[in-house]
Amino acid sequence: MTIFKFALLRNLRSPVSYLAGLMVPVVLIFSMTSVWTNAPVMGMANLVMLMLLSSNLLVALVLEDRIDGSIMKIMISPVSMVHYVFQNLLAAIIPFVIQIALLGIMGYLHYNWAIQFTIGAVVALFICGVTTAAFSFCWNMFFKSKSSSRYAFLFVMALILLLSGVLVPIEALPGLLQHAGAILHPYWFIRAVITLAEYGMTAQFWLYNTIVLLIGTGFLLLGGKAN
Amino acid sequence: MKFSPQTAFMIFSTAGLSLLFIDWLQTIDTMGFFLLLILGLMCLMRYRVKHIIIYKTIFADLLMVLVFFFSGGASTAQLAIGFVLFQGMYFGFFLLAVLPIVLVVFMDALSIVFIATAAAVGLVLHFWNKEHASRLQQRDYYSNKIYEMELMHTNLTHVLAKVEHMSILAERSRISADIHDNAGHEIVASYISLQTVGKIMDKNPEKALELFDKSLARLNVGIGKMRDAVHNLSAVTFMGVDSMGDICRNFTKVPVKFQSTGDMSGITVNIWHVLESLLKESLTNAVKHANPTYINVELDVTNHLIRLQIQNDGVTKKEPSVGSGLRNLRYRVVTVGGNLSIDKTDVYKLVCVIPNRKGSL
Repeated sequence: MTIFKFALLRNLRSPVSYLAGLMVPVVLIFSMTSVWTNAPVMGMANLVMLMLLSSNLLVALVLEDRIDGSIMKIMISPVSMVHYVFQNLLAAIIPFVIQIALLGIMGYLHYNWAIQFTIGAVVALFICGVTTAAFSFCWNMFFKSKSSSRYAFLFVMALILLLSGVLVPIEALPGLLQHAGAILHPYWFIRAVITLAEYGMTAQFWLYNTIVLLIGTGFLLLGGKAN
Repeated sequence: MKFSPQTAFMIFSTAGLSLLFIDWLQTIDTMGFFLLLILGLMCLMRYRVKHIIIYKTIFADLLMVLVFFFSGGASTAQLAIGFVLFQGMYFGFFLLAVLPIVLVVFMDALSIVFIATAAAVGLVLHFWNKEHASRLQQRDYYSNKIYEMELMHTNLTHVLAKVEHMSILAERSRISADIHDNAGHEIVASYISLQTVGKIMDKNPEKALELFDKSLARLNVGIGKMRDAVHNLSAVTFMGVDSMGDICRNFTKVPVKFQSTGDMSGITVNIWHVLESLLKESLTNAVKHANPTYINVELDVTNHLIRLQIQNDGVTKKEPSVGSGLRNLRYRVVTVGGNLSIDKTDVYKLVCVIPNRKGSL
């Protein structure tokens, strides 16, 4: 777990990452009472938006390792690539786990969520968080500069959020674009939480979550091949 | 990036998946996308994981597609069969070709055309990939051969340089021993006698004169031995161009005219050895096979090239047959970086060109 501890400490040393990845979501969880009570789906969509933004900052450490050559030094030691990636991603999703757990507790105790909805929301958010980290990992593997990766990510993130129905409902988009975001996980996450809110933890809800998880696996495979 | 069968396969796979996604956009059914996702993941696994057993992933693809096809659970299943067939054909699972024949009754004409096209493209890419791999293997084989030859050339050059150096040391040692053992003793003895002559000259002039005569005689013997040592150095063997001239002069069966031009000082011992062997083999071959009336040997040395031309007017065979002697010599010429060519147009002409690496050894 040395790599995990090292990655976690490096994340903690970067205040921006933790501000975006933990502090802002926690403030949102505590402050947006009416949203969490009346339209929790919208709140969760906002949370995913923040996850996307902060995951890029948190996972960018892998890119840093690659740029400054640390990865070569790490690979000389008896550590496999899978082990290295897994522990870095684990460190990156720690803020997500904290905020999701906090939201679950707050939702159940303070925002009057049903137990089934609370568990479903926590599961869906956790799966989405893991896939988001995998997506950021995959994204960073295609870049050789941290700044270019970040700026391109900001542009693509806006596009993803638009096409996935996070910013506006997909029904508001032109015909062709309504389902173009299906190749990205936020699209299926939104569908999953809408299904959860309307019908509970049905088979369809689990299918959507499975799709999110499979997309995450795809990102890991693709990112792993890139470098 | 070089356009290889693998690149083409990746492009076609991506295009196939995009086509399936566009087809899925017509229906937007979740199971259809799930199937698409599974196919894409299997593709990525084949691309990403090196030691994955390909037939297992293809089989998983096929099973998934057939389940969705017969259960009617996914709208994209028909076209997905084409995608699986494309992948299967590319990886050499030709038995999958029977699948569209079996399923023809369940599908519409457009899907059959799509599936057949996909399978054909996969098949073409498979054979292209096979040919590409074979070409790469061939290239590796020749590269390896060239590498081995260069290695042999380097080793041979180094060994010859060492042999040359050791020969010089041995010869020096022989000269030193000859002078020390033979001439040296006589000269030193004469020197001591002459010193004695100087000391007794006043007291006993007769004895001194007798000793002086003996010293002169010993000195004469010493000079004679030194002459013999020097004689042994130069007269025993001819070297280099003298040796080649000697070979030509001593060849009595046909008149051989030998001409040499240029500075021969930079030619190394190993190259002289090759040239001499070539000359001997050519002279023997000429008498054995061509029955010539004359043989001309020309050796031209420039700053960059050593050119040996051996020409005779004997009967020339038009068919290109090279005996084992010349074949070995050609190999030796190549190992010193040269080239050997034979021209039989009017007269028999053998030309050997070797780079002059003056001072490189």
